[in-house]
Amino acid sequence: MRKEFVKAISICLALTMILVLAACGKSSTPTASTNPSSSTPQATEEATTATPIAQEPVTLKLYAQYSVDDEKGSLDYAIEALKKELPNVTLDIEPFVSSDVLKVRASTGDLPDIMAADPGLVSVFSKNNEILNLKDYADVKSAFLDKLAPGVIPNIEDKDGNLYALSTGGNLWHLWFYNKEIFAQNGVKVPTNNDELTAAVKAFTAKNIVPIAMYGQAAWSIGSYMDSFVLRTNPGGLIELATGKSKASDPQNKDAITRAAELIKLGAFQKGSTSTTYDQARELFHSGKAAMLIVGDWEIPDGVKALGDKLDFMPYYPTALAGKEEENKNQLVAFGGGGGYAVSAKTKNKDLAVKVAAMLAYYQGEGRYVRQGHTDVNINTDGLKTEKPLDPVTEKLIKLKRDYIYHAHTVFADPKFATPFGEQLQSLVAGEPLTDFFAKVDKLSPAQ
Amino acid sequence: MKHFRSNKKAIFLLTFPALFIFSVVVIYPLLQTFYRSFFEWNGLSQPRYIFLENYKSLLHDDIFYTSLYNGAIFALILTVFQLGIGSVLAFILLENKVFGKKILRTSYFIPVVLSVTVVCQLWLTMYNAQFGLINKIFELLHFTYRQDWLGDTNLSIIAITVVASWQFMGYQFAIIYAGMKTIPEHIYEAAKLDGASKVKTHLKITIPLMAETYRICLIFALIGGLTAYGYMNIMTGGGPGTSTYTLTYQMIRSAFVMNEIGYGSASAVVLILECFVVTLIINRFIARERITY
Repeated sequence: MRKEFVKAISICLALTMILVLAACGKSSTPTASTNPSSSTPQATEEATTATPIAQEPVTLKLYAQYSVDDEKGSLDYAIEALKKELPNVTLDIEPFVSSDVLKVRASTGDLPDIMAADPGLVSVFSKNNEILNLKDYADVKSAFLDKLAPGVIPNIEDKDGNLYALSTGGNLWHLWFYNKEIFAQNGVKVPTNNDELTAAVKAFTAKNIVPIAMYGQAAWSIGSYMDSFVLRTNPGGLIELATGKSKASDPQNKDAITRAAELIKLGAFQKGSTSTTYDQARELFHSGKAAMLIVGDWEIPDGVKALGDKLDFMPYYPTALAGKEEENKNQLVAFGGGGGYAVSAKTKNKDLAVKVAAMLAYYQGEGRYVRQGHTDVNINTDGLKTEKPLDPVTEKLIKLKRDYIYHAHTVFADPKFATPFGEQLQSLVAGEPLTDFFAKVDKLSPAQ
Repeated sequence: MKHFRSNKKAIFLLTFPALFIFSVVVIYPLLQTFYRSFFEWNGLSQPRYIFLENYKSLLHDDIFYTSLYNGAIFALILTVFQLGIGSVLAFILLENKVFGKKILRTSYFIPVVLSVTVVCQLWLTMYNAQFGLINKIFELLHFTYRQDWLGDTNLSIIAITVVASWQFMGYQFAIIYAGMKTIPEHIYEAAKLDGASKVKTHLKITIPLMAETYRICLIFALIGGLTAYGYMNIMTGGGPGTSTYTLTYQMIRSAFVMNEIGYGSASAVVLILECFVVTLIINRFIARERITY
């Protein structure tokens, strides 16, 4: 009796397992249907023949940054504009949680129609044909590409000239912000070259003031600092290490990296910087405990709010050798490009979803500039007027950025290089010898 | 009772839901993890069968050894700290003369009910090299021993372990204390009549009789240490560099950051085996026979 019972239980469990395995297994059909050679040309053909878009009510799922007021402001602006042109479209917004959510949804074939995707995700999704190549859609050209600022398009395309995501923001310039009052009170000159920067770091550390508030738990922040040095001697910047164009130990990079590391040793960052988060570093700067903060220009509204007219930024990176301040001075690290709104390859309304994505990307940029006064947009703002007057720091950036040369911080786009490189940067800050850093980073660079 | 046990249908109905959920939530993912570890797969592409290549790569990966080492350090410190201090506190509270027993018992347990995030934020503030409480105390006492607790590649893993040890010490204390309370009073009275000191009583009576409880505590502490992830994720992000990586961290890095699901699965399988072996060893050598008193 007992044996029979055990048998019955075993059979039931085995059947359960088989059922579960069968139910959770991924069907092979979707993989076959998302063949790149079949999906992309079809889209192109549809676009060039300008198939009329259906007018019946359509609901599209939108996975977008929609959590804080800053994000809601520009997206709400875009949705208002969209409603006027496409009243039949309703957007079902799912606030962005993380890119991992999209990865999981992609693996179960449940991607939203339109999604905000970062460069890393765009790279993975495009390789696996999860998202559409938007390059040849007529609506993308008319609703988005034609309205961009000059010179932006190459930055949002991938290296093969494909366009998988429509960037909602523009070039987010990575700037060296500083507290004017701290410099003035301590009699420290705002640096314009490496010698003056070294002197400033020494002066501040002597007075127990943090020279640069660094949020090193996010390794890309240390990378931005490092890139500020490298760009002054090698206009190619750190991205060359990821592409294999140059190595860390090559002369054009080595000197700059060495100088950056020497400053870290002198105490340029606060102690424990590798475990400091973004918010903590900003708090150091906003509370007047740190003299400088290296961050994107999205910092301006909060910085002005916290520091008022004490906030300013250095027009160029103060990392050039003395006497060579003019060399590569307009080279700036920037974010933007590579990420943005992507459209699922499995969406039922391809043309409409593409058109909506293009319009959202444009109008969200317009909303950021017009309603919120942000300058980090890649749309052409000529003729647009902001609803509120701009603060002096933003005005200064608008004037300067016309000459800035965009240098995408995409060294942190590909996780295969970015992850171990970020770990090496943290180790360097924690005291790893520079020789080890060069040896290990050189190993990471792909051979050309 | 006998009638119920002979009712196989009732037993089946009552056990099946739990067995089913356990199979779906635990057994199936375990099998999947094991299966996926033989593939090169980014989670979206067509998986490529590579048999043991992921395991071979693990053996040549410096991060794997760092993670193993950190897991061992974490588990060891956690065990010594939690079981050691938990036992000492339980011995003290076992004494009748101790004043404010209830308050002490509750206060030891308070950190356990706090979330890991809250505890980590608290300790992050205390560990802050510039403005943190610990360094400030050293400064006030004119000690030169001030550290960059979380920024030092050698120190950071120990600093994080202290946080985990502190938080769940109260949990181990509660188990040990409850176990001690079940030891009959007359055994202690007999020892007292024989002239045994307090220390000797605990060494010769309490600890041996608590072997089964300690076995459970040991398993909790060691497995908790080997699988640690949350503390380092919040406090250091695995850094500086890879200095606070554990096998769980390495698995997440590979699977969800580097998009190497197969390699991450191989790390997970090693972690599972590690925990399995540790549990087997503990069960093999500690309290093999049931203690009755």
